Amino acid sequence: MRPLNQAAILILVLVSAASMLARAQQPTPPASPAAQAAPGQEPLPDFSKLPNFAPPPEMNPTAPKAPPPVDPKLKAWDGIWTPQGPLPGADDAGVPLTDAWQRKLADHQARAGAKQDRSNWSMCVPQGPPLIMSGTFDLVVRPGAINIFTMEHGFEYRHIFVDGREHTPEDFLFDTYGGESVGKWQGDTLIVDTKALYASNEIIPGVPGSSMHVVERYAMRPDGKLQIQFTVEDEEALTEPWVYTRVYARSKLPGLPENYCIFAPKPEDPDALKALGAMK
Amino acid sequence: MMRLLAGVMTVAVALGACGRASPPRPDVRLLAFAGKWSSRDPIVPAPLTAQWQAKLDANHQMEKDYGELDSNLRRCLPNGVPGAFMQELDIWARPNGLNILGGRDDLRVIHLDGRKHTPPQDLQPTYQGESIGHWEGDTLVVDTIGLMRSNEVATGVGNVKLHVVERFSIVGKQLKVETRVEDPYAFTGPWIYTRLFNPAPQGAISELYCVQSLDRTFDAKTGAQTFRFGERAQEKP
Repeated sequence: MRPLNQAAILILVLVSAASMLARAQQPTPPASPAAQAAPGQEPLPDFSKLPNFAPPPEMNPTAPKAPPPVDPKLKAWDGIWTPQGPLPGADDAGVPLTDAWQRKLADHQARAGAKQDRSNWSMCVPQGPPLIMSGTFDLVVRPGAINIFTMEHGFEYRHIFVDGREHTPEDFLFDTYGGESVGKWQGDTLIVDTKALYASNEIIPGVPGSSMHVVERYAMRPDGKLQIQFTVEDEEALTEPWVYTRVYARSKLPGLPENYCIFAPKPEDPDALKALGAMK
Repeated sequence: MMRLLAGVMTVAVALGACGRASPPRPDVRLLAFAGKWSSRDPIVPAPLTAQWQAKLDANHQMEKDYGELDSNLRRCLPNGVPGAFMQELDIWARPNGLNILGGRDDLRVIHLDGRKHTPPQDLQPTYQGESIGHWEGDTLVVDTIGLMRSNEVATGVGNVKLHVVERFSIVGKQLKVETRVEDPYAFTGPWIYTRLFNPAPQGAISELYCVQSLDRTFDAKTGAQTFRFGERAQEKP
């Protein structure tokens, strides 16, 4: 994947340059009344026409032209869900970690113990799958997709395509916190396959993956609870796929309670400002 | 007889299972608000007092001196109500609650269970405050208090004690939000504006996290700090 990434970036740059040139040659349409500025105020740019805000060119040949309508089977899962029981692997037990990682965690425990939170959560870094599913989440069903929002360790979200597509070809797929999640039905079970995850995403708190591959099996149980079986694979940190199951109960919350993770250097801290490039 | 009893029991069990599995439904009037919306209406400036205008001027002076405006955006802070809900809205309904995602960083909940505001002495300020809605016909009137002082009323300029009242209604195919914002110290009078939102396409949510200082390394000899952005350094055992 890596050598071809440069070629992919080059193609993207060329395509966007060509489209910008084509756009520049077209006559500018008159501004709509809504875009015109109030007296004495600068007009707002039309964000949809700026290159950064334009939808990216579709690099997935299997993506449908238009999203399918909302799936009634999925619609029944719409709502806020709260996990039952503790987070599996939070105490490092039962996780098929390599010897090297087990030694490192034991060493950390001996040195820092409970005094240091070793995970991304302490640094306000988004987790993405699988740990994004560690707390209460809001599952919003959309045409051809599921969006999941959580405020458990700061505000995070993910997008799961359920529109019949396959994964984007490797050469056009870039890593993100949420990765690329594609859902497929197998009977009444939705199998969500996620890859292209950042190497910072953690398998358990404090143990990041390197080339993590996560498969989730979502199923509604007869008692009305949502069950997700996770299968996590990673070449460097795990000796074998780690499989665990969590059960989520419907929450009566009207929405997720506010819990942003704020990691802001104080504006008067000149070192931090300099490092952030805000000070000349 | 036994067969009839077994049949009745099967139906009862099936109904019970269906009852449990089917989700509770939100108010039908809320469904008209659901979806993605976008507004390009110009932002009406707030009627700032002289003191607050001086803060804004100082911020613009800082931009001249240091090259960048101070703002919540730059500090990775949520802007909260009302600033974060002016251009892009993503709305979905829940039983007793309306959820609004503004841009990518701000998620707020409007409570619709008939509750009253928490007494001021018990209300902890939050970015999205305490929003409580009630219906006046088909218009949802939302009253919000308990907002953070960092919530901006102009670029880089916070508030003292905001009180926001919004009126959400559907006009034709547009979502109309009439807003009245009050602050006893920052404004000379109420800040009143109306924004019209058009339906926006339901695309995939692309990631846009504001992530600061992911990896800070110190050089012991020079004391220099290195900040890495984007991806946390691959950790090896």
